[in-house]
Amino acid sequence: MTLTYQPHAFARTDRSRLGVWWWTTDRLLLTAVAVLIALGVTLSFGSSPAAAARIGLHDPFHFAIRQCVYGVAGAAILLAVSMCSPKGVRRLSFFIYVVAIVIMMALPVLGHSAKGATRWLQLGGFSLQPSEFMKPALIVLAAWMFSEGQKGEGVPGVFIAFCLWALSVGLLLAEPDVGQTVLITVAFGAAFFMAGVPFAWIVGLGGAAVVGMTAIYFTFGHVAARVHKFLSPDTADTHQIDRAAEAIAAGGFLGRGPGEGVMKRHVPDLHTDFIYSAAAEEYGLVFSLLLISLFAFVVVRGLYRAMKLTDPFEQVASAGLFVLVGQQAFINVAVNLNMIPTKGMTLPFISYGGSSMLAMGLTLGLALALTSRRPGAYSQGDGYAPAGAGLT
Amino acid sequence: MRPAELNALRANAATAKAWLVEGVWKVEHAFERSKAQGRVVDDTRLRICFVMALFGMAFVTLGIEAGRAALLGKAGGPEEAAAPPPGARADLVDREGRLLAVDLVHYGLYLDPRASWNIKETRAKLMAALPNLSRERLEKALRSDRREYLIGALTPSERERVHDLGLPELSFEEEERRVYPVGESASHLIGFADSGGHGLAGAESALDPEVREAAAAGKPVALAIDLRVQAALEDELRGIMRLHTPISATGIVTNARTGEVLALASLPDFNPNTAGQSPPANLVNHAAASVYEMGSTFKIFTFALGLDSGVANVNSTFDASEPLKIGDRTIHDYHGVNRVMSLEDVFIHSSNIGTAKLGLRAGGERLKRYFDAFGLLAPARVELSESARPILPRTWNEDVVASASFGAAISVSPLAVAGGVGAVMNGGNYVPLTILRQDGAPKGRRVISPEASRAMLDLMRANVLRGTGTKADAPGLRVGGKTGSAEKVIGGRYERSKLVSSFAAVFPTDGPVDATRYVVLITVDEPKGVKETFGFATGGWTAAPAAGRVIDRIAPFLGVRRTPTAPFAAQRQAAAPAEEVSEGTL
Repeated sequence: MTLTYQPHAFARTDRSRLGVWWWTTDRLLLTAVAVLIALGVTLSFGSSPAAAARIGLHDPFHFAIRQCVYGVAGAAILLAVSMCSPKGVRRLSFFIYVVAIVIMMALPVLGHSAKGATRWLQLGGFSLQPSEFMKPALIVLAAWMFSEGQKGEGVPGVFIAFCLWALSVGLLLAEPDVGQTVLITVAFGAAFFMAGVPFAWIVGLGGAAVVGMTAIYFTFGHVAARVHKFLSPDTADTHQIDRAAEAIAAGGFLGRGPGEGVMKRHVPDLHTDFIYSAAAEEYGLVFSLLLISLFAFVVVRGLYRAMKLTDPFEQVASAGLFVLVGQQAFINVAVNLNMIPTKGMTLPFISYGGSSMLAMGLTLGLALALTSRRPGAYSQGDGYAPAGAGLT
Repeated sequence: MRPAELNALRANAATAKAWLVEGVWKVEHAFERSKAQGRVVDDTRLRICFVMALFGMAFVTLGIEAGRAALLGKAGGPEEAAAPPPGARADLVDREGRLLAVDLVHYGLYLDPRASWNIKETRAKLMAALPNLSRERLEKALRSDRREYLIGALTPSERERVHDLGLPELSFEEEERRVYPVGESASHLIGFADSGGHGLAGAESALDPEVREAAAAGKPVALAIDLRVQAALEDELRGIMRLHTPISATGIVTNARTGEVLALASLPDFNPNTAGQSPPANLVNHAAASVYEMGSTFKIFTFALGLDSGVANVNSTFDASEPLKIGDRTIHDYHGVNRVMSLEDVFIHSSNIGTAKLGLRAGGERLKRYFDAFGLLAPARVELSESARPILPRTWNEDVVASASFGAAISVSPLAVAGGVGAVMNGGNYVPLTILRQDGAPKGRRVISPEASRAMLDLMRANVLRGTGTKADAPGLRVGGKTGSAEKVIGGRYERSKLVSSFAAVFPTDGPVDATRYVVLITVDEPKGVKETFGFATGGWTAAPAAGRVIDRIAPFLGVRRTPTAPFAAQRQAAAPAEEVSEGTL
């Protein structure tokens, strides 16, 4: 019996770009994200026929096949972006931010309206939501500006960061898209907080946030309606949420079984915003907990890696990106579990949607690029390990 | 604008800008300093750690909530009784709980031609399995590019037949459908509902809100009718329809004490399961929706008011030896005995002259007041929305009073007559009729004295023993009754050959005055005289025998005991009994 030598795809001594990438990127995060994308594609095969039938599409797997394409594209973007250097991350973010803002400004002219808002740009057979791509770019740029400001080299970082934020929020509210506004504001605030804003300011900014939310509540009718609906479930029409609760309960511990769900025939947004409930009905609590754990792992692991970084920009930017992913996952699941008012928000990597998938690939790609083990990125014992050294 | 002002404005703008820039830099420097001070609370790592902890808690909360929702949540599964659908209707049952109307699951058939392998095969198989299927609709569905509705209300066996065709393009969806398991029985009383769950006729319409409420509560609605009584009544009415081929025949059985309608039939009838396919004429409930000049049956009311108001008593006499002249009109007795008659004689010989004299003695005002009290001047007080308004004379002059006293010049529905007869026979209380089973004590309003009621019972009994109603007797059941045969008004004239023949019966006539008694009213519209009845089509020959047989059949169901009696045949008379046909005024 002879042992054949299987050469590793990437030898430790491999100094090519791919080799370096493989050994420096956090492979646990990479694996978790790969699993999420695979789960999203798998679930879309269960939900697609019902969703396609509802809008009268001939092909029952219309959505599933598209989700496969999006999954591959998202993964490709993730891998490509994760190879960037911190400088590359900044450049890419700046470029994406500018492009996204320009498109968003042009939306009233070029855009495509659906469900009472102009958020989409029709490109061939696909509709793109530029604000999805703007989010991670804004967080990276804001983190960059915070760190520049802290250097004391004459860059008004905080001012610039707030200007960038105000521009984004202004355009989002014009669409209107209150959900994304809240999302980026929270991530932006988290980045500002992590960058080291004095505690006294936090109180002031918190007050401003409350005032802002109140203003939004009174300005946008559909937001107020949703809050009322949440606060008085008896009187309002809570069709989606009620069906979701029934579906989750019907799923129980082990679920009704793959493809056996019935709720997907009664809820319009099941393949997007309510995919969690559809999955919980078919695969049960076991699967729900797996899903939640995966997201928790990605966020906590990501934040842990961000914490260990040494450069303030890299710390705040990567942490801000993980906050973005984490809060989106949290809000989506919490809506499904009726813990917070209904908010149209996708579940990262799982919900059907091209923009969401590609933008999540971009977000995680940027985050992975920032948290990779470059020389000097981590303090002693956490840094780039030459061949033979321990990994974590 | 003067240059000075412009300069001042520029200066202000410059100040504002400087102030703003200063403010921005103040903020920037403070931010920078706070970082530079390197305080532990401002450290980025600690802050990230804090955010991480927050997310950790958030996701643990999600996990706990997910577990709670999955394991303790309220599943809309089969464990939970489904709420009734919006159009749900409660079961209708008779007074003993026998099912009269029920919502049953049926199936709607859908076709998705995109899933069809062979359109021709689908067409051929479906046409064979469902002969009722509309060809037009099937062709339309087969050419469609989506799932189409084909046919509804499939029974489980029809569904199975279609299902067993094994065609993947066919699918079923459950739908509720109202089913009337007793078919034609009591169809006019039960009525029917449309496929959307709205009552359209009979109890289904009259009790629509109650039926819906009961459906929400999951309880049936109990009607007053007794299906056994109904069956006997309908059977006898069908006998009349066969023998005398009238336009219609109606029958009503009520409990005089409680006002409950124990049976109500109007022939021709229809099958409420397929009400839409019946001739429209069959859908008319003649017992409620038609009004007739009832003829001598109405004399019950004239006699009751005469006795109660004291204008007559059992010893009163009426001279019927001469026709009665009112103005230029003369009232005859057809089989007049042309002598002075006692009150009982007037009743059992159904003398129009005598009754008109009694009516005139009472006077128009009194007649109107009593008729009103008997419920004859308004639609019968019963839940049925079909209940028709009577046709009343415009004035109550002597001529009209004389006519109305023997049931001419006033048209009322059989239901209204049954209600009024009940009030006369139950001890003198007017109790509104009801199609709902009554469990409490009846609420009535006194209209005549118990003594007058007692006297009326005796008159009714005497009429069956010795008068025009002998064919209505049933052995040992102490039947009382009054015949009526009114000429119909055709083209403004009373038509001698077209009669509305009726019989109002009450049984048992003995016992305490407020005992439970039952009223049977049979009305036949244009019966034809036949050989078996020696050519007679009057109430005594058509309605009366049927009423007797109905009573004979239903008494056991109602708990009325027979008393020992002389041989039944001995009371029968071969010849036609003396009977009066009313001749009215116009």
